[in-house]
Amino acid sequence: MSKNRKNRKEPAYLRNFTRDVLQRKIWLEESYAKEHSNTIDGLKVLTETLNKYIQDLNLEICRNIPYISLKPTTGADDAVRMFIRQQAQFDEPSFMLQIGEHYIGLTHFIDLFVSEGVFELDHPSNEVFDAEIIFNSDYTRMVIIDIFLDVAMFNSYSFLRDADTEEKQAFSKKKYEYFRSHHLSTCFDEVGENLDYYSFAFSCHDISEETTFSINLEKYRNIWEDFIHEYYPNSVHKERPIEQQLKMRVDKHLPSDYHNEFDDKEPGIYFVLRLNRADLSPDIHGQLLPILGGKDVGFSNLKIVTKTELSKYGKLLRELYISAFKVVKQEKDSIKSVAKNEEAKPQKSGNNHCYKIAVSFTSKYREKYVEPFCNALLKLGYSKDDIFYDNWHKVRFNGPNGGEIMQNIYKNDCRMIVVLLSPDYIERRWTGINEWPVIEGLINSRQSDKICLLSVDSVDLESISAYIKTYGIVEDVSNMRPDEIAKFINDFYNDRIISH
Amino acid sequence: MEKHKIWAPIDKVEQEKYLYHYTSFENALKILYHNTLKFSKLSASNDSFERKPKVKLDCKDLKLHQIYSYIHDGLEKIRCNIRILCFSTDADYDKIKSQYVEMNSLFSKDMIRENVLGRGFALPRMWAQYADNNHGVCLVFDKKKIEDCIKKCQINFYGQNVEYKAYYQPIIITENQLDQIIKGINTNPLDFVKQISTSDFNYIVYNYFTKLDDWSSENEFRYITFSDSSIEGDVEISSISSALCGIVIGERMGDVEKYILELLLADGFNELQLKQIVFEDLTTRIKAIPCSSKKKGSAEYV
Repeated sequence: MSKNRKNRKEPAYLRNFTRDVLQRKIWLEESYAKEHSNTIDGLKVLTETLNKYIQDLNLEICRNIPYISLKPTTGADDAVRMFIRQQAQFDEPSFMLQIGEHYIGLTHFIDLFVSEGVFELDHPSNEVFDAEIIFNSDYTRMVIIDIFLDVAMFNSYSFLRDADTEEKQAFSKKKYEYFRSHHLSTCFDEVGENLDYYSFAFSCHDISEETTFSINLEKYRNIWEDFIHEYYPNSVHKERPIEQQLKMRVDKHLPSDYHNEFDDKEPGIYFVLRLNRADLSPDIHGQLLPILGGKDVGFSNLKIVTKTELSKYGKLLRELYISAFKVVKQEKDSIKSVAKNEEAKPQKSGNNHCYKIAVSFTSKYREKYVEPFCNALLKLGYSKDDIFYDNWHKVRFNGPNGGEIMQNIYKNDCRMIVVLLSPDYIERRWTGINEWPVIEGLINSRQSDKICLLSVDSVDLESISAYIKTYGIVEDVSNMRPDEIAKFINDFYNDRIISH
Repeated sequence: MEKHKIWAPIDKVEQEKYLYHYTSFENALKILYHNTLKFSKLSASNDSFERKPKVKLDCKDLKLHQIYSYIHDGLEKIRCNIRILCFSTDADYDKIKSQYVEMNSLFSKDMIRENVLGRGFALPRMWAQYADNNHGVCLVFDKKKIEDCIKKCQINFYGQNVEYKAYYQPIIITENQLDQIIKGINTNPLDFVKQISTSDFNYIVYNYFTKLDDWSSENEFRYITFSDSSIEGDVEISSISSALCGIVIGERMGDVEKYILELLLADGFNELQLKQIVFEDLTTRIKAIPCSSKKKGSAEYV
């Protein structure tokens, strides 16, 4: 294998052409370092996997997520984020002495203790660490990747990246709070109370999987989005200017005014392509010519493509015949427009899904079912701003066009709709005329994934919809307690909305 | 992602889920290479009492002494046809709980987490006596799966924990039972014992699943079966790899042995967890083996 990184066949091809790479280190306790002498090779492979995840996220997310370079070390410095040891009794005084001067500047520092039969996230054994992860050696890669994937995601938001150390430490706690309040699943057997750290990747593994420990990236993205939406509703990410982004490209083949090429382009993700290898077979040459244009394929041919167009060149990218460099064009007015939205609406906004859950029901069932389960949802960590239950948001739809506003909420401003089907549901004017047609419209337009169907009092489903009667699965909640109904709704939200 | 629980401390492990078989390095290679486990003769046991029928004649007539000797010899011969397969088990947590909690009160949280004392693969005397003085191996089996393997081999078996007693109390044979026993021993002694075993479970428990307290540190669980043949090792279980879920190597196993074991496991035992036992000053822990050939793509090992 070539020692030149650019010539190596690596899965994370985008990583090869950017300087947007964070240098981080893993501190190995002396006895661990001694026994795991092949750690350096291991870390290389691990870093490639980690960067492949980051690349996959970069292909989808309209922000630049930095890549990570990991190196092992046997002492403290500012780039260290975790400490690996395999013995309960290590030389703690010497360790504390070494970490001393770096402690203040660390945003988070995790103690990884390799103990074969336990997989827990807990309080640390001393005040230096934010958390202690006790894990079986087979999970080493998984745990390290999870932690550094969150480091990369964190640094992709300008308002987090630019925060001071104290705010960054508070951020780590917020992730844990979010994990608890949203009852997210976790790969750990046990997670301690009131911790200062959590990585969202811990909640995105398929725990039935025994070997690969792969991460469900879609779920991971959704959790991050939802978390930022909830905890940083007024913060706006500012992407670097395109000129500055282009300067992060590893080579200097780009003309200095190349950023002007993006002037007429719509906001979004773009990739600058260029030839990367001179050893072209006639076949490859033939494939590259129509892509890069010009009479002959050369290093000076540059092309800007969209995300969709890039996907056509997968093999050429993986084989590193083409270099690709991501550029994000952010909406010019995004900062202003978001700020304006915040002013106009006290509720969380930033996208159309204002509420997490909206509830459709007839008033007859308000007292017995709806209000109790909405209150039970509050106990599960939801706020009143998260739930569109009419009594809590009367001002929102008051007025002559209240029905229209409500329809719009069901249609656009909620992530999930809970429909409590009752014998009078279709007959009632409000539900039958205003709400059900919108819900039915969502079903017909293949947005039924956001609809959770509950029923009471042996409702005849045929009277509601022949389609629901034939194909639908409806949860009968007549004999369920409010907390049980709330749990069902919360599970639906976590499994169907956040996960997808 | 549940596999790691095999190595959990005693208070966290599922009771009676695993069985542990201690053996020397050479025997482990045979077991793994042939993918079989053999039942051994009860008469070859290292416990002298195992070979002795624990019966007493309830008769004061001295003339019957010769008859008693005849019965005794008959039963002892039958023992040659009885095969046993022995394992260790995890300690019964309920029984050791108070001591365990007391011990943990003196330890740090991390020491408690790594300490596997009480687990069936962490029995110092077993490592010394059966695993070649810590140079050998302890094979970890899933109990349910090993029983499936035995059933697949169409072997009739009884299996249960060995009971430990301070003294043996003999089974009393009354004068009335004598004729029946003599007839049984004279015609087909093996069938006779099988018949008693089926009809009187206490007999089988007492004779084959009871040992003196002296052996209690073995935490033994055993399977017995009967064989018409008296050939050593003629009853064997095949395809045991399906029940094998981990291998622990002794603290003193040499690098060459380790390497040979790794090579053997790399061929067909890829999912198997290979660990090493480490007896520390106060605790006992299991550690991963940072090896070169454990799995394909070993460079990924960090």
